Amino acid sequence: VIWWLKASRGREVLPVAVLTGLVGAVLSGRQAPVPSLTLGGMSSAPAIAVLALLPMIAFFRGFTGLPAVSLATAVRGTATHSRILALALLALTAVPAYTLAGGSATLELVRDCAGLLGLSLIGAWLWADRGALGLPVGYLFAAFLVGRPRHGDPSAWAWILSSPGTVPALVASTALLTAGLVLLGTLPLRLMRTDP
Amino acid sequence: VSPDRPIREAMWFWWSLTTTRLSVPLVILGVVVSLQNATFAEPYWLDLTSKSTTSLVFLAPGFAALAAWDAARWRVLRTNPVRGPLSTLGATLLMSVVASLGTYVVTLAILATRYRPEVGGPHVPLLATVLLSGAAYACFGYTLGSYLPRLYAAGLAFGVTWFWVAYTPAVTPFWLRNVTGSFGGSCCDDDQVLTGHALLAPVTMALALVGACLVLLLARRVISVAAVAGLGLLVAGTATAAHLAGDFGADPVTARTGERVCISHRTGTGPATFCAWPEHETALRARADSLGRAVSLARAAGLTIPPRLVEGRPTSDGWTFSLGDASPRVETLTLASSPLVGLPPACVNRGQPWPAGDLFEEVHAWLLHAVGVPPSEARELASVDDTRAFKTVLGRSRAEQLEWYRQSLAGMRTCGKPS
Repeated sequence: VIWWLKASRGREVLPVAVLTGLVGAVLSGRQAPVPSLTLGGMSSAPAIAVLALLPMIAFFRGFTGLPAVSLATAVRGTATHSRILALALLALTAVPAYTLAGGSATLELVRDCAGLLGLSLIGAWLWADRGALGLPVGYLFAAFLVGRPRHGDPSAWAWILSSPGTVPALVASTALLTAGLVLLGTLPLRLMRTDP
Repeated sequence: VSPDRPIREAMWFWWSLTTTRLSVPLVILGVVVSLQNATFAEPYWLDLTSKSTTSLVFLAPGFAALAAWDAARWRVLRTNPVRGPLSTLGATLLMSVVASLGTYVVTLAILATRYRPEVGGPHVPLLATVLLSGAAYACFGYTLGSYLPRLYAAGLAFGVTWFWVAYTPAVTPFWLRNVTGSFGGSCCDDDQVLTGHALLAPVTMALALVGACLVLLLARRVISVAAVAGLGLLVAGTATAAHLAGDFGADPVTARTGERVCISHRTGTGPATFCAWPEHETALRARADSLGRAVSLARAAGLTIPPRLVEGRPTSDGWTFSLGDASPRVETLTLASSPLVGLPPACVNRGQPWPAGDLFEEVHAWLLHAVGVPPSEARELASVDDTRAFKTVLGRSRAEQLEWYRQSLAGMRTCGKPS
């Protein structure tokens, strides 16, 4: 576990979660302009939606630091450890956000982080590191561009634009994270560090 | 060896850049979003030029992320490089600048065809400033990619640039939004021009960012020194840009000066001259008769309308007019509504009650009727709920109506009770 924690840069990854929680508390409830095709030109989206990319990137920074050779020849797998790290990352994001901004902001931040992390893991399973970044960023762009109809609430698939307490959005985010964590054990070794 | 091999090799290099491959969807998206956002624009080159650059808000983070991705790929090959860091940086920046320029030019061409500005030409310094700012963000992304793994670098470049360009308009201090190079939402009605240092502030910021990035890229062997020098350059540039943008307020604009086009019109109640910016000359000529009729009717109703009316510049009594869109009778309706522009008074924003505000719709309808709009239509246009009260006003003598109007208007300009 100690080797794994060092190799996956735990000391870098976990502070990013705390930082995300702190910044998320500050940005809670704030909107920023984004392009929207359905609303005509520029619209606005929760600033937290983009911030939620940060824990996902930190997780991959650590996860891809594991040496491919060691993983290929390891007697025991490290997927469970990485799953625990992912959940710890989300928990550490929640603590400062809850302390500073309350339950609603925390729910939104953790939901967004969890959903994007899940998407990232699915993207990595499909297209390695291109997918790990491309799928969540592409999803964000798609949600901004066409996720909000001219009238009414955001579309169901654009859960990241929904208000914090929206149950389908929470379900979607949880489902994506679960799928990503399940796939985590089967991610391609070419994602990992190849130097000695 | 095939004679076209060097060409193919050169093409391969450019095509190998992720910035090249993904620039096409970004350009298309940029044009579509900018055009959708410009549902209303003035036939004024400065307005059209600034609106054509609205897409910077997502082109900048997009190209910063792509530059980071490309730089991280070059970093892997650094042990045995064919091209130096400046060469690959130049290629990446060139692609992002060409794609951004394409986006802005195509958008501007479509906007110009739609709104047909009659005088002047595109505001090239503004376009150049936006391009320079976009290149600076791509340079920032490239620098991140030169030091960090591509996943990390591209995500950070995208997030940081998006927050800097898109989020700063939502926060104070105001200088933050005026140094990012984003003008799409802040400039310019046809009676506005960019203020003195409006372009200099973002140019300074962009040059400081490019300078800091170049220091970090070229002095890798003394990275700690380079980091301090780069940071110093960035802080100095930011401070200078903040100083330059310190007086702008929310938007970097100021009142436009210069010659207006004027048309004199003789009405039955005395002369009237109507003036507008040269961009509206055709509209002014087409609508001068209608304006003259409205002024004549308003004077006949007892209102004092000065002999010279300037579009967008109210007289001391608030009289002005607008030719801003092609909707029917816009000049007449805006002339009638102009004394009410500026209401409610500032005291309402401080939380005080506005008892005379109940008269707003009736006064508006009365003004519309005074310039020739039939009573039922005036009531509808002004959203008058109390039809009976409005009919009662119209049933009075002209002198009584005029007195009611003056007292109501005076009452509405304060938070006191109407007399």
